[in-house]
Amino acid sequence: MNPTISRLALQALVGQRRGLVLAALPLVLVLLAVVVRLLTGEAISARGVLVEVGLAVVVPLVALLAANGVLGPEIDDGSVVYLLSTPVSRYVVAASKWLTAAGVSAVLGAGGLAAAALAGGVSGRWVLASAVAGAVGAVLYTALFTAMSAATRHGMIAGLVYVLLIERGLGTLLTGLRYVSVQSFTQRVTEAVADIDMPVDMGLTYAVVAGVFVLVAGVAFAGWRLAHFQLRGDE
Amino acid sequence: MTELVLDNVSRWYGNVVAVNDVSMTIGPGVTGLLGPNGAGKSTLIAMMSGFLAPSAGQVTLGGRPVWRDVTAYSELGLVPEREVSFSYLTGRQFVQASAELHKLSDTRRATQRALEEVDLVDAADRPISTYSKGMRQRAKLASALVHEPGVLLLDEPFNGVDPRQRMHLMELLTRMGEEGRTVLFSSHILEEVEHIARHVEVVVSGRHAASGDFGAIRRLMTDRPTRYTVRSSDDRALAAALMRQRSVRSVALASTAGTDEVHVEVTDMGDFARALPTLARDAGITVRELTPTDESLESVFTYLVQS
Repeated sequence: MNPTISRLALQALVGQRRGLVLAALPLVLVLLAVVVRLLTGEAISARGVLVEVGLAVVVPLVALLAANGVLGPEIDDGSVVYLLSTPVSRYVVAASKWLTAAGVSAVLGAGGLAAAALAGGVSGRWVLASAVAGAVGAVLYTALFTAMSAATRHGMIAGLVYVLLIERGLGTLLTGLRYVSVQSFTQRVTEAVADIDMPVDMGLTYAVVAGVFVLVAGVAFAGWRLAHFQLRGDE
Repeated sequence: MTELVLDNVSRWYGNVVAVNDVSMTIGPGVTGLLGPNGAGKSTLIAMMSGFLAPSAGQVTLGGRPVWRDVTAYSELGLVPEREVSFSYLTGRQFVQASAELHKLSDTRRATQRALEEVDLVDAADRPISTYSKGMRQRAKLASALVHEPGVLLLDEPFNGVDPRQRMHLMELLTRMGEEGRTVLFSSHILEEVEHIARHVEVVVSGRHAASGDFGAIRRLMTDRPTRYTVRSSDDRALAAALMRQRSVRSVALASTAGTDEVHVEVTDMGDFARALPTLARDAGITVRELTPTDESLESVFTYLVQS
């Protein structure tokens, strides 16, 4: 890891308007939990708010914004050249940028989900589960989205297609898609760690191996793309 | 370690050839890479700086290929044409980051030295977003210089820079060339190259058109027939007087959009320029307008390529 690259990535994330949008997403989830609780007069449905909205929508969106904030624009406008014309390994550049995106997303994801659980008045174990799901989901999603933003200038759209179409849309019809769903891996791991009922029909070993694969392959692919980065002239 | 060698380098994109079989050796001192827009200068610089794989041939720095070798950047500095998008950083932070990425032992001192070298110390603690074009250019240069590379590549460094800052940049590049560094910059403007480059490489349409000492290339460019259009109070009398000049090869009377004018073809630009005012005054003719009709760089290059 390279601390300079990570620090610059952090400045790019929090120093600009993107930082406000990033922070607003978990806040919306907390507000939602509060409103639901006030309107119904009882504790929120953990599965409904925390899993279906928090883990399925807020965490991927935070990860998507963060991952695309640290890498995509710099590749697009060519200014990543300033980082790459140095003797730092391109794989280290990719890993350091991912680390920043993952860290910021994990803090916002885990914090946001846990805060929403507390605000919604659900039981103690669900607070832990929310934090675990938020953190694990953020780490895995950022690895995937970092790879996507390194692969195409439409990394944001590719990420949205993955979340909305593969995980949400088709995933509900074709249950087999759970085997390529980051959300499923996250749920299965969370279920095991926090010992709660968050049922996913998937072996724990598969979920862990698949999660580690997404992480390693995603970051490695982003590094490989940077190692082959080509500067296009304006002409 | 400071010699950049291009060995039969070509680069194509699909059916489009951007750089066609170019071989050149860039050694210490300032070299100008001169060519019209779209000639392949940026593509060449991208390949020289390891940011583009040659489709054929090889670019080496100190004998080692630069493509996919990040260790080359210890010896190489690049100032891309692209704007810095790290505009939320201050100039100092930007240069400091570069020093850290180069793993210098004393990044603070190296940053200060680079900022001093490009004369940006006063503005160093302001965000880059508040910089003028020339200041941004100097910030980029400082970041490329911070590790004191033996080879410095600059893509169109004078584009959009105001004249005073341009002079400053030129002095800086000249000094670095005198220090024994290999400095190469691209430009499509003859005068920029003339000011600072001892050695010139000319590229036209992706091909290596000419190479050598600036004087020789300048002579090639100036000792060629040049055409002018002159508008005066008495075109016919002026034409007659012009025809007596040794430097004038042909004169024609013409009319464009209802205005009469004289088309002159001269063989010696300097001689013609000196003769015209005297000649007009002696004949009592007022010269209203004098326009070179083919002074554009493109026509100069066309001539060069043909010769």
